[in-house]
Amino acid sequence: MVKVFTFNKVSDPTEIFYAEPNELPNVRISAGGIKVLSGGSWSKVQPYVDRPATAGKATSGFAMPYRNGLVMNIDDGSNGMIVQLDNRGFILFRCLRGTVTVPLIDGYNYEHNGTLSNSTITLSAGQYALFYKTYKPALGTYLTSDVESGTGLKINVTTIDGSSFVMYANIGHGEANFNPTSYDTVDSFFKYADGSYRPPCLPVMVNAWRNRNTQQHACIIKLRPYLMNPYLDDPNTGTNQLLDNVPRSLYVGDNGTSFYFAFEYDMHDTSREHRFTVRWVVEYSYDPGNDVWKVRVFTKLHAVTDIYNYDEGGVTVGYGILVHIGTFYEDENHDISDSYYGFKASTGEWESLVFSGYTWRTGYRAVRINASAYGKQVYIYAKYIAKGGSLSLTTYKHGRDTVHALLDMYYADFADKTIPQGSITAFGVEMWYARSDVYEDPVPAEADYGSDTSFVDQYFQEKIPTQITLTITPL
Amino acid sequence: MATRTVQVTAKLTDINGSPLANKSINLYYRESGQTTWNDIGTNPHTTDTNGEVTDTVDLTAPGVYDFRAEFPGDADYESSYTELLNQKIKAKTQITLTITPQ
Repeated sequence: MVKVFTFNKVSDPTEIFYAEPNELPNVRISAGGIKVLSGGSWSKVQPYVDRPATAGKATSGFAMPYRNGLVMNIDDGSNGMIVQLDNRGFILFRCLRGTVTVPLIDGYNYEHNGTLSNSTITLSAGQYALFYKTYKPALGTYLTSDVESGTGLKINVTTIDGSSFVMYANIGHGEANFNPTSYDTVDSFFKYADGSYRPPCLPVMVNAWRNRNTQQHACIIKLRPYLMNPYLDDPNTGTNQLLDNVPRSLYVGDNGTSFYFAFEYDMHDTSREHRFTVRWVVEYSYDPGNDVWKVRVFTKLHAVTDIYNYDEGGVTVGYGILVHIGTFYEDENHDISDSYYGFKASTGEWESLVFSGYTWRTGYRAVRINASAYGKQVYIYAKYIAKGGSLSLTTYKHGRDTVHALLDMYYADFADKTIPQGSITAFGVEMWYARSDVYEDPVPAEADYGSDTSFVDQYFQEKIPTQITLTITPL
Repeated sequence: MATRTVQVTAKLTDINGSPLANKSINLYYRESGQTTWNDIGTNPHTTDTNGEVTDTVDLTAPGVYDFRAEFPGDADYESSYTELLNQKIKAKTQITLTITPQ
């Protein structure tokens, strides 16, 4: 288990929040791009997607973790770049299209093949600018050579401008294809035994601006499938809804057969800072025998203050684990045609269910859907697998919305009510994504850990750092 | 050109400098400028009680080489690695001295 980055939360007059990695001083990540300290002033690296002034969304790209950092794709529609942020103390900018301008970063050595003028490096397509402190990595075609030639999880990446390359997360096993070339289609896939790729792609994160009604909302690195955070107020009133996702730390790890990404967030907004903290783990494994991607998602929520978990039947879903959503960029109005089954806890039997628009149901320990979208079929089976904490979790609930193509699983015990200050709740859901209708019958009950939440916390236990001294002696 | 044997030693410690025994270390080398690492001996090597592993590699000399040691991590300890880049390995020389009384 490796902590890749520890982020500081930084507010800014022109942004809501930045995430500032400790391992890369003088560098800040916002939902729209990257700022660097240059000549004592914070300057934007262009392209940079400014937050929307009015309702709407302004997505800016993706972020994918590897053992030592993150690769981000930032594109404003005309100019695009990938950025490799590495905890070994370097940051690499690679222009993919148009023009990229990078102010010199205070405290870093640099190397580039662009044009330096007035302390700013201008890059055209294919050119790079590398800023490093002590460790200077070898460069590959797009990223550093160790990321492009490693072993482990292989990720085939197509950037927004259509450039394609391969990177290795250097953890776990499996292969994923990531292709966010359109905001409006399901273009991210896991690779299955027949060589096909199907939605959803999971080992990726988004950095994006988005808002609902009038409240702006910044997602600075967010896992998929992601956590559905509590709404603090009625999202239909336009006062305050989803909170900014600014990570506090990122971990990656693997156990030989699976790999995971784990985040901690402090959740807050501009008027009511630090309302709750949340831990969030997504663990992936591929079962080649059954041709199934298995994804386990765990979450733990700590209410620092009283929080209200708004859950309006018919409109919104509460704090929970999103099993499926139709598009990478959370676009709405994407219909999917599917079947829909629930495993009734009280009878121990699968039932065929019917939905129409938003559908809420209680009492089902597992659900199955056949999510057929964009010419690809993927069967999803999701079950509750663990629970713990100070709240008594007794009532299964899930929100189902065909129009918005999402399935949210949670416990009704903390839905649509105040979660008192100091409360801690944790639970987990396991999802199977397959090309055929693979599921369990009967569905095993979830593990009840009482007040214990170590089934989540174990992912956040740091290992002891090590160091190697290397000497060579010609004989 | 001639070859020269180079001894490579890596020592694994925790952040306090305490040696870590019975841990797996991989040793690699490559010509500087190349992107592919080559094994030194048989990887992985196992650290001794001093936290050290040692092996040798025969290199064409003179030449410029990169060396790398990595610890993949285990249940208790984080992974780590270190590299020595652009190391000039000189070729051995010898002088033959002859004296010829006239």
